[in-house]
Amino acid sequence: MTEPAVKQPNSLLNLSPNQRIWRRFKANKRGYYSLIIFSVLFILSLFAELLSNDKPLVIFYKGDLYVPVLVSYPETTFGGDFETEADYNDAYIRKKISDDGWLINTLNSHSYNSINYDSAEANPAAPSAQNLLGTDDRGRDVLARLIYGFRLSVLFAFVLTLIGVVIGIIAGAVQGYFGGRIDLYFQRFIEVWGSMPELYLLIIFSSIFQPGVLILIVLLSLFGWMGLSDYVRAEFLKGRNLEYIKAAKALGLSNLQIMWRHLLPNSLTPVITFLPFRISGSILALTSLDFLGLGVPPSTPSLGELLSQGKENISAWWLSLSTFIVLVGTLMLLIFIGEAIREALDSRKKS
Amino acid sequence: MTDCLLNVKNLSVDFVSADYQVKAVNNISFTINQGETLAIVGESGSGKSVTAMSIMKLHEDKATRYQGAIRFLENDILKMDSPALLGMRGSDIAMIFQEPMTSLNPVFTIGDQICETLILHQKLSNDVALQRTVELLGKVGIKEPALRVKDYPHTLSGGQRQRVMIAMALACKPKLLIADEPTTALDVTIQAQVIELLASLQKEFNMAILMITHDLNLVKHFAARVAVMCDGEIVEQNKTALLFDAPQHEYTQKLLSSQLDKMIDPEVHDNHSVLKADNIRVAFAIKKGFFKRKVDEFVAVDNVSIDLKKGQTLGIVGESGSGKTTLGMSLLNLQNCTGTIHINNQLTSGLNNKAMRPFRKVCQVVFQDPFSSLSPRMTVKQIIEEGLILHQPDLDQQQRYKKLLQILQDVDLPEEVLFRYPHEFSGGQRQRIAIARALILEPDLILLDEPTSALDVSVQKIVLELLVGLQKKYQLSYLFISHDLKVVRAMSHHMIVMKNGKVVEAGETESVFGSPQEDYTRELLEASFF
Repeated sequence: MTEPAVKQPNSLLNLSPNQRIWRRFKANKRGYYSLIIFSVLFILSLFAELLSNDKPLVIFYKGDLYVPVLVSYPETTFGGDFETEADYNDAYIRKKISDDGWLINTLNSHSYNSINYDSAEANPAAPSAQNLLGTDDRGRDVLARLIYGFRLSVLFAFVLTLIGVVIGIIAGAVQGYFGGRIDLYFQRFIEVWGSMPELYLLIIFSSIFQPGVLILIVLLSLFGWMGLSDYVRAEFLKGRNLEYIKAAKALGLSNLQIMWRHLLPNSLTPVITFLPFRISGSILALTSLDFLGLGVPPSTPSLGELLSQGKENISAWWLSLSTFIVLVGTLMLLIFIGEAIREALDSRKKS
Repeated sequence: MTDCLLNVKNLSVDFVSADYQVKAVNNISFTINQGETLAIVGESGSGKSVTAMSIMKLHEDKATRYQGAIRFLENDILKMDSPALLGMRGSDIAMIFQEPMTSLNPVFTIGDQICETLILHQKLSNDVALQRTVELLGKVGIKEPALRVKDYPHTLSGGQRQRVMIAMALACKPKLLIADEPTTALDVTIQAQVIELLASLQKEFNMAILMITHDLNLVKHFAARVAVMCDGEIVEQNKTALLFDAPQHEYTQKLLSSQLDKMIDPEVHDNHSVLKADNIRVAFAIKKGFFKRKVDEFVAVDNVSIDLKKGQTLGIVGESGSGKTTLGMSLLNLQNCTGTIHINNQLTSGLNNKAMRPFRKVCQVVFQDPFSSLSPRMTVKQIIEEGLILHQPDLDQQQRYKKLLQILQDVDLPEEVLFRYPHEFSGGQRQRIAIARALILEPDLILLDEPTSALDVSVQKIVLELLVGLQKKYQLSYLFISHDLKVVRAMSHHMIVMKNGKVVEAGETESVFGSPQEDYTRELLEASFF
């Protein structure tokens, strides 16, 4: 059936495909606001040291300005006895400073691994004016650990996703574009590789190597690219027989140029659609590994570790509840964003 | 009651959605009598298919607003409720579609699909329905119908599928058959057969046919009356002979005058040869068994030799599957083949990608489908200048821009198209962009692979005229692949006729058309100029 020409206002017609996608994305209010909220939270968390720190932002002491969040000062600077870095939560140092000047604290005056020795209660301590969301079982401030944990989780997820996307695109592109024998062998390799038990490998490796963020990223990346490469492969397979690819070949472009300039931009739809879901998947992966104790070392701020503490201390409701809210909130924002992106990229929907 | 079967009165169809509204059909009226054939002619987007679908009320209910009346016998179709519509569709009014490849369900046998209609509407038992199906298939010219009922659609050719579609439509002896471009997707020789079949069945069943088409030639031979549609309105309606003899409306005149005449100077000068190919052969291996041993091969192009001279056009004609596109691709080294190819007297066959690059500048391609031949995510500027950046890297931005403007002028496009994206253009404009992309490298040879098949007739003529003009201006040689003999006749100096990978006939265009030597050529000619 021949379709009647859709008469759209002229301004819409002049937009590039990407501009139209952005327009459609903005039309989805839930996804759009989720993106804004998520971006604000993420950017704030990047400056976590200025928001939640046991060191004050600025100190004015005996006519001089000090910036402890950036520079480490020995205790002797403020009239103390030791050459080590000043402990600004210590009542003695505090008194010294307030006698001869003033200080401005960060919004939450705890860092992720600073221990509150002055707590009136046993650890884990319930929320109080000192620790807004209470402390964990070692007396560390839960709010601070949440802020740093959120940052680590999101950054970890970004890196993991980026690596997965890059490897996935390259693998998928090579298979799809060249097809034939390369495709055949690569697919068999993926089948073998994909059937390896990921969790067991992680358990084995975490007992061999010193656990850390880097080793986790490497291990998870080894397996994280396969789902995506299948989609990219399918797009390339579909695209490589289109006439503009033949035209590009007839122009004399090299394979790499054709893949990069012509096929890739037209094959990104599944990649972009999956990004938010992959990010939320990565956050979840890190959290679950930490929960099982296979993830990052104990001193690192981690949502999974907080959850497992919550499990150990059921009565300390502030541990599990606050972590739960942060985790669910983050994942929900990402899923709303993903939903909006998927809708925006669906070209069947007319804007 | 007269013998008026269908009476469409002041019909308007609007498509509405949240943020836009399109008037697809605007206040049209026509009637069809019993046993009569009315053709609705128009270009793409004129609303002719929308009209046909409205008669069956097949549009999405929520998004469509109808006005006016469609009276079928005593009932107004627009006022019918769903059960009544279901009873009418397929039994009183039947429809056949353009694309036989997708209008049959691939997971059912053709017998099942025809029986379904019979069992549903006529409440026949399974055995009787099967018997009727075999009868019907025989009637539409399927050989050995009793065996064929168990076949799946993919085992049939396009023409056979269209016959099955017709059998399906005829199953309940409809009073009105709506045929939406029934032959557009078929080869010319098969087109003629299908039309003959429709005409004879019409007599036998005394049914009315509403034919939707863009093909004026077909209308002339098949329809009693013609309605011409343009932008959702019927601009002219008359008996076929009268309309063709004395078209009243400007648009009808324009449509009729887009019939092609000879466009080139047919005189053949003996210039040097731009492309010379000898004994080109392309074969695909057929592999079988566990170890994929080669058991046989499918020869797509079989020992074809051509010689194309400077400033001239060689037409390659053939039906689908005759190997004409494969031949074209092998000549440009985009498809593996054996044989020798010389471009400007230099051997190019067997060269690898890198060694071939200097020759890429010399020979360019324009493809059939203007919608898939431009990358949707690049601006027109990026598309056109890509080849220039590759082959003339020494040009600076200003020099490139100057060349771009020059080329745009050649293909009659304004400067502002440069910063827009392909989706903003119509088929004809896109084809101009594709031509500009090929032309900017100043090639000697352009391979035109069905360059106008996807375009409306009036646009087709303009694009062809543009091509002829460019040929004269730049002394271009064209390799013109087409299934449409009229276009080839208008465009080419020499032609070859291909069938099953072999050259059936070759020679100067006029002499091939004037006195075809082979039976197959004659058959082709008859089918396309009947």
